[in-house]
Amino acid sequence: MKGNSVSVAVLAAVFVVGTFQLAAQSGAPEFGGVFSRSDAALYVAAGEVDSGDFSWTAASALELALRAGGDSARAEAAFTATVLNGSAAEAMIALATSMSLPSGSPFASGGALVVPLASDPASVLLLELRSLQLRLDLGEARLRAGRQVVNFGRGQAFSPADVFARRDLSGLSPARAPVDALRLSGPFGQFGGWDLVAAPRAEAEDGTYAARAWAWAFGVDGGLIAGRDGGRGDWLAAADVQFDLGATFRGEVLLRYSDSGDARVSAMAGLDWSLGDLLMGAEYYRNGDGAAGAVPLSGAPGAASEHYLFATLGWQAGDFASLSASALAELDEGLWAPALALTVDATQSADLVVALRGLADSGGVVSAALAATLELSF
Amino acid sequence: MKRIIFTVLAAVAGFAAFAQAAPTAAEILAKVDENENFSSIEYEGRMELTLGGKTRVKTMKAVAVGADKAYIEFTNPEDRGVRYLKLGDELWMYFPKEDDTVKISGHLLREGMMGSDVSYEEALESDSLADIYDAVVKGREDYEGRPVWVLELTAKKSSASYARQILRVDAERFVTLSADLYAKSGKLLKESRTLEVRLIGLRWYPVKVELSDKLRKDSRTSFELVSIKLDVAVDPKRFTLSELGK
Repeated sequence: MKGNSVSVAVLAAVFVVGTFQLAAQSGAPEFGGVFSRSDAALYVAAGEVDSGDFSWTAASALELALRAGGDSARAEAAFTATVLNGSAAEAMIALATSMSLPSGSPFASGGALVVPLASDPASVLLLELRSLQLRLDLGEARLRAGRQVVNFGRGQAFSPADVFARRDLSGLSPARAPVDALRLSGPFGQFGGWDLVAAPRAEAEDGTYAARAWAWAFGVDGGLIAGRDGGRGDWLAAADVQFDLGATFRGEVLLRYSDSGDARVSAMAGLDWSLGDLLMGAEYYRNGDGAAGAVPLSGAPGAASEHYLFATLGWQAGDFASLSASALAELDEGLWAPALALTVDATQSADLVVALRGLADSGGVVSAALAATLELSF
Repeated sequence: MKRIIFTVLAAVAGFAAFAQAAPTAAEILAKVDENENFSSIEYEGRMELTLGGKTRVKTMKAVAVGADKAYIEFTNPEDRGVRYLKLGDELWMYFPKEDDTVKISGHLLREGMMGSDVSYEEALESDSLADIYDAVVKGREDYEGRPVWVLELTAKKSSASYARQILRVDAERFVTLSADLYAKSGKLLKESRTLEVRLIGLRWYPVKVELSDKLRKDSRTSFELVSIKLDVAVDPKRFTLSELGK
């Protein structure tokens, strides 16, 4: 039987069993979401400054989440629909044109389905499924099947041990991308646990498979990972640790050992601490994995740099406002992406964020964006 | 007031009922601690944060066994799915969107829990009052229409959240109705007031408590137990780090 047939059969079996269990259990479904609207003024340097360097973009997004189930089975889905206008929409339309797609045809980009809107040729609709998973309790263990975030790391911006969740640093805060996977988890006593995760691809041997054991003991959090990245032909071994000495220290190391005998090591070291109302953090990342381990700055594809730095500073500017500054730097290329954000808790379930972000190199500012975002949770 | 969050948010109560006669402070404190010693509790709670005239509401579901094990999951829209697990003197927080478990330790312990006037350090305090404080009875008086015993507590340990406390304990229901919490310098840091008491089984329990931070202008946090069940069966695996992230 082909590998992808095995993967599909396993997933189908889990969903069938889970659906029966869900149907047999009562429990009111939980529904919620976030509506957000973001408007941004953009500047991209291109020789002498003129009006052509400036543009506007907007995004209206609706994220819906639904959870249902009972004591031993639960289903969860999270879906986002975003309407893009302005320069971001124009970039998507240009991408479709470069792919020689028929006008109005949907296409996939960055994990989202992009749908040009016939009613408004200057807009596109982005559809993204962030989570669609079924959870089954199997005695002490729990099985999760479907799209989910699998977090194997401890880093805020950089996490080489996080072999499943790609880091998205394009937003104001680092975020983990979901993956389609089967995950079996269980406890090691009160303070530890284990995970077995399979993220198969169309061909099972191209998937990523890993096991993690982790525990907290004597004030130290630690984890060990072993696995296989079939797509790249690498065996994986990783370790992570976190402990507190007034400041909180954390570190990760990942060894990739290829089928051809090539060994590459990546590592992260970081800490965070506070001083009065100031919260500070810093992380250093040593990329030993070339282009595959590179970090894109400000959404731009990164060069295969070896050394990166991330620093953040947060300040509670009042009872309902906070100010944060951060910078992501690619040390080899001299690129850095600073960001400054003011977050205001405007009213119950509503936040307003005003942010200034940029990308600069030794020659000066490459690009900048001033954005205002309103988020309403329900 | 102690154990605000975890022993009944976790003990919205940290206050509890005592027996009728309480001639000595040691006996009163023993009865306070005895009354808090439920085998388990399950509740739905509501936390109202008021700062500078603005109010934010957070809701939660929680379960606790004794004073050492507690699990809280927030249910209000902006914090939906955020969970806390307390095991002894240790505390973890889980963020579902990132599948991220964070240990609250070091400098983070000084932060207010979910923006409230209760710090993580206070929430984690699980020793009995008698273990932490020396106590004397200062007298008996009327407070908010109820007869109360007034107790003065002085910290035995430097690790105590407050150097001194003044408690007013209902002399008939033996519920703590107020607590004034002082720093070593004598400065009043926080005040707590019981706003509502309910008879649950054979115990009078405070079901609504307000805590105000005297160092912040117009700042108060109220905790209300919307529903409460005592001595319920709790699956032990609920209090594991593995379960927190599931």
